[in-house]
Amino acid sequence: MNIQLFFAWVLFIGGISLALISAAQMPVSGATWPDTLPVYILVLTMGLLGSLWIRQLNSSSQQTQTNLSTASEIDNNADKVVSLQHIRHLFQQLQQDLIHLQAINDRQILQAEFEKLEANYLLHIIASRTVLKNHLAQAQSALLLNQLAQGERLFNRLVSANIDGHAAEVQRLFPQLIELVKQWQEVLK
Amino acid sequence: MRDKTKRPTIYREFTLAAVLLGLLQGVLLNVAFVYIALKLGFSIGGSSIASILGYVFLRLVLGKGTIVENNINQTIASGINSTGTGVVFVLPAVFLLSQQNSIPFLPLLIAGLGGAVLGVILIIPLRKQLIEQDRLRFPTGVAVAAIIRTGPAGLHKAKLLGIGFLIASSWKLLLLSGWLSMPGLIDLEFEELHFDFGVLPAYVAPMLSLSLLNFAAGMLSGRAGLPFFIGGLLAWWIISPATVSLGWIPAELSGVAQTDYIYGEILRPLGIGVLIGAALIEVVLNYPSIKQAIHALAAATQHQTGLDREELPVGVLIIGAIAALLFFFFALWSTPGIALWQALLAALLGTLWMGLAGLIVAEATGLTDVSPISGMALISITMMMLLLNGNLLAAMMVTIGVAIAIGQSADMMQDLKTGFMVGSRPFWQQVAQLATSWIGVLVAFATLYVLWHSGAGGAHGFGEGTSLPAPQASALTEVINAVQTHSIPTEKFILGALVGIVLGFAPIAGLGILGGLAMYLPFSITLGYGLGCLTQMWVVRRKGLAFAEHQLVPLAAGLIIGEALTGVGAAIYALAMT
Repeated sequence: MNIQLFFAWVLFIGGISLALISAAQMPVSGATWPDTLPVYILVLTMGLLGSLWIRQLNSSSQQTQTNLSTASEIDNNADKVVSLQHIRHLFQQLQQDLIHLQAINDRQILQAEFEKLEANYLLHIIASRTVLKNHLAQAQSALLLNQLAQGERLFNRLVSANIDGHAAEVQRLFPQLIELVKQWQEVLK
Repeated sequence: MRDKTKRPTIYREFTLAAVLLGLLQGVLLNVAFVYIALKLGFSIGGSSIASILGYVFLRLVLGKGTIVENNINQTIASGINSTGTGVVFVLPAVFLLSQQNSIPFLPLLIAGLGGAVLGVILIIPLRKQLIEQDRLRFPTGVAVAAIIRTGPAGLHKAKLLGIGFLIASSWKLLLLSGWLSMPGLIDLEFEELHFDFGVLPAYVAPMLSLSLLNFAAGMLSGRAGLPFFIGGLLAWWIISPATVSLGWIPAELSGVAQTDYIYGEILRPLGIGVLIGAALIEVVLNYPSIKQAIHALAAATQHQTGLDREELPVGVLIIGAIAALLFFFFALWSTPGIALWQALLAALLGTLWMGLAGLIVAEATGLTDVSPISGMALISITMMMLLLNGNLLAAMMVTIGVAIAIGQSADMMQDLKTGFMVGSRPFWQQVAQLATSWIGVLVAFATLYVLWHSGAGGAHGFGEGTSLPAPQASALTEVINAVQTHSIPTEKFILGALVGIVLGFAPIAGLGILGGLAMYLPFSITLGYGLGCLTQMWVVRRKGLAFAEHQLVPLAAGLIIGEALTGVGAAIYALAMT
């Protein structure tokens, strides 16, 4: 953690804690506010400044990372680029695996394959949401996260239909899910 | 096993069997839990019971039930049941405060029906934000999804669920038996373990909830629940000792009385304020993504038709909201002493407050499984008494609408989370809850009406001095007295709300809501929950995320269901014995 961020957190946590302590005093009889109100205002302002400072530091750090990612040149940002590439790769692999699974009719085998898909792709995709948020504008990331959630729910329905032994629903859902995974890749292009 | 070739091509989801079973279970659970709440002072969610019975009836008896069909049954049953929770919190207080023949039953009923519809309608547009983008955990929703799926899904998860169930059930029975009673160390009335070691003062001594349900809710939340734990530490290890050492606590108080004062007069009101401030600022800061989520919802409803529809059309939501708002307005206008402008203003403000309070309760439930309904009802009654010149009846009308609505909002989100996890269509769940939850208002009103008139002389069938003491109503009556005598800690609400707003600016999702909730709840709950969070984080670190999802989730689900069902069974047994 850089020193500025450390101080910003100290300011925020200290300000909030002191504000809550000063708010805890009861007003004296006949008064509306506690005597500590001026202290409360001061330390709450400290907390607010700390919070805004953290936001500003985080936002400039993300901006730097986004610029560097676009350039794809700087080593210290390589992990983010790799993460994004990794997500694209996961999407491609998931699409391929889903296409192969379409041909399987055995419920038990499909169930085992679904568990592998979940462990190998879906949990990683869910875990990499922060990387997606950092690399896209808020509205765009919201759109992609909505699409990812739609795909996740469709996958959950696929698993449920397979557990229920409803082959017709399973076959109906596969093309829809594959199409959605294609759409995810389009958004990331 | 049936021949696969004979299976129908339509995957059963919104079926007559699921709807009828949901209605039947919802009505029965509503009546039973209203009675239990009058007796014991708390109500219980019925999702887990409904899903287990749904599995037995739809799959084992009818032989053709599906996972998503059971989700519809459970959505309807819990929707009808949860309206009872809101009604039983407020309506008994109206009976106790009013003269026998002067209760305007119809306007209260209309306000309640408006609340049931509005609670569902106001929260539906936030489904994408809370479930898909924020990915709130909703521990009970996850547990119910595990039950719905575990039956037919496989032996291993069923075993884990069963083990969790047995552990929690046995532990709960052990607590109820009284064998563990150790004065000074284990308090069985509140199911808490006290660690004062004979030296620590009560206002700072750690207390651990012995509820495995609480621990399991923390296990399902993991790292996301940590601010709740830290909020508890801040409240009890920093604010609490600070108030004592600064001499802000009346000198005549000591021991438990001192702790009760700190909790009741300082931490709880500040916590309610923080919750409200944090929810307000979250709506403002998340406006772009909420807007995007609502656009996505509108787009989804435009491009999809008929059986493929994913979401309830926005037009239906708007028409429903206007209709419910009119219900609310006419209920208020028909109250003696309320002018037209007051009825209009109270209906509008009441609806706005319903939306915000619904969001607070849905988020709190999503993050921790705890819903601060009583705190929200307290704010409602305070606000409305001030706005309506102390007209108690009109204020109670809004409060009953709000209490029902926020219960519905939390329940709808919980059920939509379960639906998300089993792949149900949100559209059918939304239709199911919207079309049936109002029935719960009628059932709860009728139950309370009958019970009240079953008393000696045709009245006072519940309340102090009867076999149904209605503790929640007594607590609300005390709050009303405090409002009437102007002893409500308004300054704590306001100062807490400003802290909530600042917390909302922090780049940690849900920090304000979790922090406020941690101050609002006893220390034992936050500590037990925090241990659950730390356990999940330790397991993820040692064994990985996949292991936690496949092993910990069914085990935690079993712990939640085991304690809940044993608690219900014990309550019914206690009633039968009396």
